[in-house]
Amino acid sequence: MRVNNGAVIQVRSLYKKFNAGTLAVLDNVSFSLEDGESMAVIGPSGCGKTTLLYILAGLISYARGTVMIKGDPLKGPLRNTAFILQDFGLLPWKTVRQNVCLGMKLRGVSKEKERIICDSLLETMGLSQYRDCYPARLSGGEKQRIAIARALALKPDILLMDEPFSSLDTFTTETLQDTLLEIKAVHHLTMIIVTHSIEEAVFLGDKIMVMSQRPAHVKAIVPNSQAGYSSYRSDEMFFAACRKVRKVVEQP
Amino acid sequence: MKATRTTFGYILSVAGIFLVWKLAALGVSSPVLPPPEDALKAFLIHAATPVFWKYFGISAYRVIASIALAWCLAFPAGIVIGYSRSLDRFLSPLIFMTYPVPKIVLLPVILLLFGLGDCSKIILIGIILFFQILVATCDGVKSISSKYYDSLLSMGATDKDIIREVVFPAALPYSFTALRITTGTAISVLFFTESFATTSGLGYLIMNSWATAAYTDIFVGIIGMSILGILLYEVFSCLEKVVCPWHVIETDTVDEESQSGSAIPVLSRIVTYAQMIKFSHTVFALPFALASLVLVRRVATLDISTIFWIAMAMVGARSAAMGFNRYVDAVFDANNPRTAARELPSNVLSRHEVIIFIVISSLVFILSAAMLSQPCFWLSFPILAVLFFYSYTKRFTWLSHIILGFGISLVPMAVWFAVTGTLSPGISVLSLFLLTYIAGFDVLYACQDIDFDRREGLHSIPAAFGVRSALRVSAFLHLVSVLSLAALYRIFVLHPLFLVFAVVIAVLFFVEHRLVKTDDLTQVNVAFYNINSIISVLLFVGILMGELMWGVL
Ligand SMILES: Nc1ncnc2c1ncn2[C@@H]1O[C@H](COP(=O)(O)OP(=O)(O)OP(=O)(O)O)[C@@H](O)[C@H]1O
Ligand SMILES: [Mg+2]
Repeated sequence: MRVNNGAVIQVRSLYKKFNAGTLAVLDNVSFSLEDGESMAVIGPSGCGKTTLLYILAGLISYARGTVMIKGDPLKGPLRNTAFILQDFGLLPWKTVRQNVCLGMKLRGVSKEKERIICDSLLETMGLSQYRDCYPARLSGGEKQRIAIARALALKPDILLMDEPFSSLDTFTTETLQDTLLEIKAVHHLTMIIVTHSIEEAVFLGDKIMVMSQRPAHVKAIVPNSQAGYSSYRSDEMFFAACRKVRKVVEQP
Repeated sequence: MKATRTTFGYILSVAGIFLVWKLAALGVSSPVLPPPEDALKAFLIHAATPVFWKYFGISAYRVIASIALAWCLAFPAGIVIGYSRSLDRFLSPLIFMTYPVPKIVLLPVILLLFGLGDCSKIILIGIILFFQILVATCDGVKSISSKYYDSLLSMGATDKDIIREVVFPAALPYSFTALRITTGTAISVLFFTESFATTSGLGYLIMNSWATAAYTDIFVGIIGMSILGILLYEVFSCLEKVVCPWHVIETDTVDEESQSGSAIPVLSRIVTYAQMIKFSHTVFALPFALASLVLVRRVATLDISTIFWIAMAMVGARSAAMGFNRYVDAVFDANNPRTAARELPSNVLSRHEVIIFIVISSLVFILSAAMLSQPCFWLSFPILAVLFFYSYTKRFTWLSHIILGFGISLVPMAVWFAVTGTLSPGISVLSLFLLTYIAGFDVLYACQDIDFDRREGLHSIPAAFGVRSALRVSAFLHLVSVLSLAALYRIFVLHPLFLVFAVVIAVLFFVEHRLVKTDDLTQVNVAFYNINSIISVLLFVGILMGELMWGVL
């Protein structure tokens, strides 16, 4: 059955429990995302944000509820979805270039094409000189950029990111946030970003989903359609939105 | 840096052993424990006899074959068992029940099944190592963080992809660590298997000396076995660095910082590296010198002094050529306004010092040649001229690769001539192999420097004809190398075992060319360099093994 009402991601009454007898992780989570829209997910540690992304990436199953991607029920990893793990998941035994090409290699893209795509991505990410280095050599920000490049190499429509900038300093974070906004606009991505920072959520999310303690349900989805440009950070509306989100977060 | 630290460590521990040994010998004062200097003297005397090296070679063959057998079976098995949950559940209890059983008690059974020859020895050592490597590999696979699996799965990877991209490379360092740790065990079991029912090998040497009450000679065997153990250990460390370069970076954080600390690190490193490679080519000549020594024994007897002066001549020639190359480059760079500002990689030597270095090295070469024979002395001058001439060729002809190959390929002929005073067609074929092999991969390296060479107006085949043609030229040269191996086999009537090595070399050449063709030139890197060193070592080992088999040695 196809239910297509324009939403790229549609989640309804999602329920997830890992082991019988334990507390559920996700309880009655519903939201939907339009094409090219971004959503920031924020909530207390251990509430189930990573679990939600794993479900959306098709890596773990869910017990109840529906997850529709472009109108089709989700059954496993999708070609058009890219997932950047909490600690990037770069393979230490592969060079930067091999890491970026990994997804293309798995999909049987020709070496020639692989190389062209990889080089242009590394160029835009400012990583060309690290092509043949191993990730262990690189800084956190560089690793994150490689992870982004690896995700983009697959030309995804949907990008899932788990706390992408949590281990980085403020300056690097802001630069990368700007990069991310640009990439989102250029590649027309539908994005879900899990974060711990209210400011980051407000800066990056067209809406912000605030989750409760485990078992996580949706406390509120705060609309934030002004987001999406670099100078928003110093905008009065930005601070207003932050205050609003904080209030929801602090609600018991 | 690291290497000197290790060398220093070795020297220190050898000195320590020497001291303790000396004290113990003084305390015991019995012929059973001779003082270390006596043992060392006896060792040096034995080391000058072919019979010692025959024993050494046989022991090495037994233990290396066992290790290879064990690894080839245990590593894939460990990967599969570690990765597949169902197999693991089924096999783990079995492994852990048999693991503590001392496999050495199987010896009588193995002897009955496989006879008294090398085969049963190899199998016994192999079984013992198998379990060690298997368990280490399994543990390695189980310790892989699930985030690697997850990130691959999210890209739609299959089990096969995951094994290839994650499990295999992640488990590799574990198996190498196991190999290193088990060298001690391997040598012990080797000794055990060689202590009876055999008349060759270092273990036999020890037991035989014991039986004949030649107490000092016991230590000759002991030192021999220790050297074998240390060599294996070091070989595995090197192999690990070659095969798992990322592992070295991860464990070697100090070096990592010092390397990534420099500004524009990658570019400058590539350039220095490229220059360094040219020097390092000469290292590949060493196994060829050894191979020539092995072959020349068929027609002449060798004595220690000849070998010594040949070694000195090689050191002298290599140093002179390297020094001269650096000197010429320095002059050229200084004359070129664009590059005048560029510092030489190691600017610590002044030009003056470099000249002195060249002169001394050349003298060492010429004197060593003079010690060998009168004709060698006269020939040393044209050889030196060829070696020096190479340094200029990059400035005016793309034939520089060939000249480089030619310079290095003189080694086998020179060794032959030094010993016999004549040349033979066989040895020229070996030289032909060396020439095409060096020239072929020098062309490959030059593909990487193509931009640099064109910018600097240097001549090379890739710079002159483009990468495509250069790759073809290189492939052709290496084809000639492979053909000359066949010729070598025919002319010297080598043992069929040599063919096995020849085939492996041919495959390595093939892999090398496949790598550059299908992928880009970044594959021409350190790993590549190591394939080349493996080729040269394989050739030597192949010839050595063949001669051992014929019983010529
Ligand atoms: N495979 C699993 N089996 C059992 N429980 C799990 C599993 N994975 C996660 N959990 C539990 O589910 C809960 C939610 O985990 P999750 O990783 O989704 O939290 P999170 O919101 O991402 O936390 P953080 O912000 O700290 O990253 C946690 O209590 C965790 O212990
Ligand atoms: Mg998380």
